[in-house]
Amino acid sequence: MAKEFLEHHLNMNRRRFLSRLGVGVGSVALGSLMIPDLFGSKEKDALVAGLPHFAPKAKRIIYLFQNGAPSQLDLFDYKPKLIEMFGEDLPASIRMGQRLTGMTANQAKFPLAPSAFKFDQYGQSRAWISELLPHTASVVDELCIIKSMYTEAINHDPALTFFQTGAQVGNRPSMGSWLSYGLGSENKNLPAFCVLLSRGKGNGQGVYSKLWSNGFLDSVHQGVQFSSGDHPVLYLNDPESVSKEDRRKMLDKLSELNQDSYNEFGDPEITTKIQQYEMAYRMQTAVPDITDLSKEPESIVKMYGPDCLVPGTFAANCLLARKLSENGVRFVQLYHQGWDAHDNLPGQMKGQCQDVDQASAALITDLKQRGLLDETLVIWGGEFGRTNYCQGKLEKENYGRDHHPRCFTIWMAGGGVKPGIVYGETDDFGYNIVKDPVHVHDLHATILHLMGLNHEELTYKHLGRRYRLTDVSGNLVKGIIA
Amino acid sequence: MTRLRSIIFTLLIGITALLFFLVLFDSSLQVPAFIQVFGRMHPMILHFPIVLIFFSVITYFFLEPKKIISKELSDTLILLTAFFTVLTSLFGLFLSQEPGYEGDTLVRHKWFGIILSALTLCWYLFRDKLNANSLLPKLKWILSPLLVVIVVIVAHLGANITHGEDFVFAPLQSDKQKPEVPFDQALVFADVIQPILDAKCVTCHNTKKSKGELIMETMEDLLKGGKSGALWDSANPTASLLLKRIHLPETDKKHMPPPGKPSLTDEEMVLLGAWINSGASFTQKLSALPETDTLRLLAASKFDKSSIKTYAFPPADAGTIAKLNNSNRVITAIALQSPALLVHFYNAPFYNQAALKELEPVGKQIVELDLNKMPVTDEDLKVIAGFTNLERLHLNFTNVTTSGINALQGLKKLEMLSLTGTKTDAGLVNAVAPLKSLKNLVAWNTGLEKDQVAALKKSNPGLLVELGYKNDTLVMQLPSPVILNEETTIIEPQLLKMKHYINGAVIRYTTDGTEPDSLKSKVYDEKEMITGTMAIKARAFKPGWHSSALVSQYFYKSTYRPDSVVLTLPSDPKYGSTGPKALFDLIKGENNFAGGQWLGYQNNDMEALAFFNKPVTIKELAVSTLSSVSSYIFPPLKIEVWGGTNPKDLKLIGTIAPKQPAAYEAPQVVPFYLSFEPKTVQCIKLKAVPVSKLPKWHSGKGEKGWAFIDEVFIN
Repeated sequence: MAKEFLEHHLNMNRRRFLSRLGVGVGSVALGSLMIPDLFGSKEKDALVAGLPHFAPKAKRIIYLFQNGAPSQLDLFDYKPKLIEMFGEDLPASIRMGQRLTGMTANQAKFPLAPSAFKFDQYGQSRAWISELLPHTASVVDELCIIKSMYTEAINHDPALTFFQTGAQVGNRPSMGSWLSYGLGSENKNLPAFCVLLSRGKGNGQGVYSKLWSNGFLDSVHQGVQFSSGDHPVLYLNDPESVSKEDRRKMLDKLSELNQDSYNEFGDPEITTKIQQYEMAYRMQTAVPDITDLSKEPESIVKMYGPDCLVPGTFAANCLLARKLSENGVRFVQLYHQGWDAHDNLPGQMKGQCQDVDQASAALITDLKQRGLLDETLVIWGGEFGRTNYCQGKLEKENYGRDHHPRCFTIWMAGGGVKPGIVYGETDDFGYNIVKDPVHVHDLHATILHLMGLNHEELTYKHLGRRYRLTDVSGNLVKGIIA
Repeated sequence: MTRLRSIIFTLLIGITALLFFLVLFDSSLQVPAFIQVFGRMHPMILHFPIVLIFFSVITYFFLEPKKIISKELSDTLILLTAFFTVLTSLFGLFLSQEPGYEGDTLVRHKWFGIILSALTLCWYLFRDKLNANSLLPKLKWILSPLLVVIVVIVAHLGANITHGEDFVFAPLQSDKQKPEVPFDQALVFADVIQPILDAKCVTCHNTKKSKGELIMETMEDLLKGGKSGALWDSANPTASLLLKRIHLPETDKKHMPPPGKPSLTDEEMVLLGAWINSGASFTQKLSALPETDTLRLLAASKFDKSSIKTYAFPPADAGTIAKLNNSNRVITAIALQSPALLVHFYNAPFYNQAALKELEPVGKQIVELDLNKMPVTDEDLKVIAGFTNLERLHLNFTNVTTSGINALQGLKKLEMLSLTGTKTDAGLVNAVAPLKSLKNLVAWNTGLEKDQVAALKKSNPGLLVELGYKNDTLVMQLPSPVILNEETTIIEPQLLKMKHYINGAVIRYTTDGTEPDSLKSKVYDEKEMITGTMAIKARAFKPGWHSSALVSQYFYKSTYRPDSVVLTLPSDPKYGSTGPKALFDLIKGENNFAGGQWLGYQNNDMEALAFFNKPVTIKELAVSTLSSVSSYIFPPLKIEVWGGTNPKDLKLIGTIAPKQPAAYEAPQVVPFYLSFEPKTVQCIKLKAVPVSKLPKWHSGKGEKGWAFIDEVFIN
């Protein structure tokens, strides 16, 4: 009998246990309803509002990309130690066995090559600038110079792609496309993302349209390339004998047809197409006015340098960038080719700097005198740096430098960055970063932040996962935010 | 009663499971609105567990053992305690997901609450065990105070969140804490430097301890210095004792602060350094420092805590905004969930006062208005004056004048006004004076001059005035004119086309190979025809500019083309182009030696024979060569032209000795001419000798040079 009682008791306990467990599990299930992310059950593509997440410090960006990688050691990162150690081998303790490109990996020696150019300190900030950039030196108190940039790629194309899209492989949206997606366009008569190309005299590296691709984003966010010459935007003009009214009628009809096929197939690319036709129509009036540089007063021409009226030069593109930007283009991306000085670096740098120095500085001054600098972010820099040792034969006045992703210098100015500061430091050899490293993802995160976007929330779901410009990393560089 | 207890216990288990589960995924919790209602009940029901815990402690630990109350009542009380504690925690967790709840206090409150929930649950579960094992009397004095203390802590932390820190004792505290100093009034020493010293130095260097005979409490103490001397040396600030000590390696015995004490952050060290370098003033105002001063930049962040501006006014009606929005008048919120609006006008032809007036319903919300390049008149500014929350106003290149600006005096929040390229004048000094909040005036290309800025700064201290870049007196070199003719081989006469990108630049040119000058040379008038071989040399001139560099272009007339050509000596296999044809195919090689048009020679001379079916009378011959010094390509050392009726009967017509480059130069195509008395020939031999030894200055000195030849013109 006692046994039965015990059994009964145990049974009761088990039943009670299970029923209570049921309650517990039920509660957990209830709770899981409040955690939509737990089983990936809910879409969270929040932002399509086209508004900043918080009040932005900058409204627009002009990115003066120096394609080919200018030598930081001959422009900004002054290293007197290299003068002392001219021609000596780069100490292994500094190089630490880091990888080199195939172009110098087989060199027997890595002779340290000091810059052939004089450096001096300028402005209130006393930042070091080389004699190659006299105009940049004159606006140094507007600049936030970052000496501690570093990247992951060691060759041009992956590095450039990484800088522009946050990934070394192609097919991801460009920074400008992300901004267009996140913030929309300011001026409905112009694209939100424009691209301008120029080429210097130095050794050049290609730029390809994948760099301003919208990737998996809607194709309205693609960068629109403005070419030099009579037709800055190709195929924008009406064909001969087509009047404005005819064009309008044609577009209306076409839009109806497209709308019909959208109703039938529901492909969002069709509405994109409709929008693009409309945009092109509006651009027909806006673009000729903006791309006509001949009406710029002589003082402006002298400021940017007389080359600014020669289509296709960096100076002309800077001037055009200012005009696009002041007309509400979110992101104007310039590429200036010709910085890849593996040999005859001093000679090549002189030419390159002549092309870009005056116009870059003029852009800052010009934005400032229009009251636009504090809402426009200007960025200047390449995809990586150049080595402190010589590639090929080393002479005092003639040397070459290989690719160096471990440290390089860029500068930013205007919208929300601290003016007149130098951020980060490299070692005495200019080889490694010793203070405040800034990764490309960090720079992206900071740029988005200045534009009022949280880089972790600016996402787009594609192929079953959410993508960001900063992938899964990126920290704000608080030290440069004003 | 038992049944009720059973239900409550079951609920308790459920809620506890829910609570711990949600705590685990706290960061990704999303609380729907109806649950928020429960969350907001947290401040109400939290009073139950506080009271119940006190009761239960008394009943369980003190009354029940003495049989003053029944076990059943005691058990019920503990059950209720546990139930309400867990429930309150759960509701609290919901509430904490609402905006505005963050910070260390909240985290502590949350975890103490959870610990308390766990404790009460365990208490109920093990209440009999405690009793049965007669542990109770021993643990009574540990457990009962523990519970009470935790309740008090949780309650106190919760009260801090709701009422603010030290709410209870605030009336008793003396007013020790300094009020927050606004940036404009902050002093460098008192508000930036002293707080660092107080936090990191004064614990040892005070009147009581005075380590190293140094006291760092007041200005006098600091100036006096310590045992090792004065803290800084105004004559040589970088060598100051204080800076030396803080920058010594941390392993150094003299490094300050010493090991074990909180060390200075990098920023603090920079601040101290910047302060001493700037003269260690005790009265300097932070805002009086230049905008780009390191000290100011670093310190400013301390005073500007919230970078996100909040606005007190209500948002405008979304429908109204949508209705007013079009492609020429773009209205956007400055950020998600911000009531503040930004208005941007585009396309001047569409602008009129009505377009501005229509904004009045949202006028209060507009904080930024961009009217650059719109035909805005003084009348329109009266409309803008109604947008009282306006902070930034762009009026560049509009038609406003000084008197119009007077209308803006009511804009008490205006911080930025840009008037570049307007007809405003010196009167701006008075017009802007009442705008006390103005921080930035942009007045490039207006009548406002440097001298007046001083007066403006007097009435509006802190105002930054941007007058822009003036370069009227700057004389620069004009860029070269551009010769547009693409076809340089003249078969049909063609018009010379030149262009200069700078308005008003005059192009002067010569056709005879002489240098053009600014007085006598022909002015380009779009009428010059190129009929034969011609060397165009042109320069641009304009008053106020230096004349441009020379630009030159050779045009080649091609009267006779041979009927057949043979190369009697082979060209280099790498640069063979299309063979002998290449010399007379009218396609000229360009600067790129690998372009496929060039015949290249290094190891042997170039030698070619050209045959005409019928005799021709020639008087001129031009050979186009490439000079690309850095690629080891030089003009030939010598070019010989022979002529006759057949290859066996050739006479030397003439020799050209090309000028050799003397230094590195950019690649260029260089033609060489030979003019001679008319000769009737049927066969021509052409010979060119490559440079045998590169000159000393070249990096390949002594090596064989290359000669590149393409296109020969016979007239």
